[in-house]
Amino acid sequence: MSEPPRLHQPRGLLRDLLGEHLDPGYARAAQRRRDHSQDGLPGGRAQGLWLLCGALLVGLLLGVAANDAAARAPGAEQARRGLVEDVREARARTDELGRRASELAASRDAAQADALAGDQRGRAALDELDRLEQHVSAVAVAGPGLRITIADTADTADPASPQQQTRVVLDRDLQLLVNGLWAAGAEAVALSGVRLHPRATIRQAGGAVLVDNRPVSQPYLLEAIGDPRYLHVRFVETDGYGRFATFTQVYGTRFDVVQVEVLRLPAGSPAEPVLARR
Amino acid sequence: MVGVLALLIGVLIGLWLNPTVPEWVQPYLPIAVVAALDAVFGGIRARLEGIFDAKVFVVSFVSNVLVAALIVLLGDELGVGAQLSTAVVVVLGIRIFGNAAAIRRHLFKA
Repeated sequence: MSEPPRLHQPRGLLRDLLGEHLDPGYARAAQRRRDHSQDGLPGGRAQGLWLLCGALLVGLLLGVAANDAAARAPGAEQARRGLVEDVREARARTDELGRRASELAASRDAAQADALAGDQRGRAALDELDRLEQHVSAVAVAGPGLRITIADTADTADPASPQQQTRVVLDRDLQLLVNGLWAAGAEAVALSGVRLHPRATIRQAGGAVLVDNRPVSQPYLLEAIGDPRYLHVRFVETDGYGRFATFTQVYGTRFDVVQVEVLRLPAGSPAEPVLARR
Repeated sequence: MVGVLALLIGVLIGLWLNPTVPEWVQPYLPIAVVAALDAVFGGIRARLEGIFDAKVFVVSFVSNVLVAALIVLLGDELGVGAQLSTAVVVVLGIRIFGNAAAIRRHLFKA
């Protein structure tokens, strides 16, 4: 049962708010009713009418609000879901087209080899083509090299919350590192599975890093093919290595360099020549 | 009983008519709903305590909605609409909780 109203007590706003939930009007109306007629029960035609109107009004409001909410919320939700769907479709199509492109490239290579392998000049042209393709990272390659793992924090046990701290490793640091690898004599470089061709870019876009316009996330995996020991020695002398050594000391950035016997790097998608024509 | 029936009929009419809410009313609709819930819970509690009065119910509901809308309108004009909306929702929310608790005590004696 509720306590009787403590009207004699001084009341603060907060006590009112926390103690008195029922509109005092009810108590007063009941009091009035008791005073005027001895009939304590609510009743009568007027009461019924008031109740009917009020309840109808409340119901109407709730119904309209429910309709409005149902009409509006799914709109935003639908738009979001549609966009997500669009993105997923576009990604699937990109993958599909990429697969098809590599299939076609394989058949073109086969046709090329068939056509050119016949005589001396053809074979020379093929060798030249192979060399050029390797240089522009158009073919998948494998070989020994260095595998470098980079992450903002040294402890990888908590990959679920990468956003909780400020980013230490930025696009320009990765750029410097990659340039260092090239300078150290790497023959092919891939960053997080994206092969870097001569015109590939590494850019920051908000919290993500875009490698050749494809988003990659931490930890970044930098793979470079070359004579591991020679590459390692030359790489240690580069600016990028120095910067990341400092990062490791100052910010606890993870920066592991290991020599690997066999690395497999996928083919890149070198940009089409814009000005060069045959 | 009449009240519950009328409430249900009102909801059904609202759902069935599906009127387009004017753009300028939309910010006040959630506030109005919270005020309406406050009135409904207050009414149920008063009913359980045997002091229900339909006129008080209707007048408190209408004035609650109007005052809440007015406060939010004023807040919007002053640029603190979101904060005042929060204030209205907090005050009405506390009342709803209190009344719901009282109803629960009445119904379940616990």
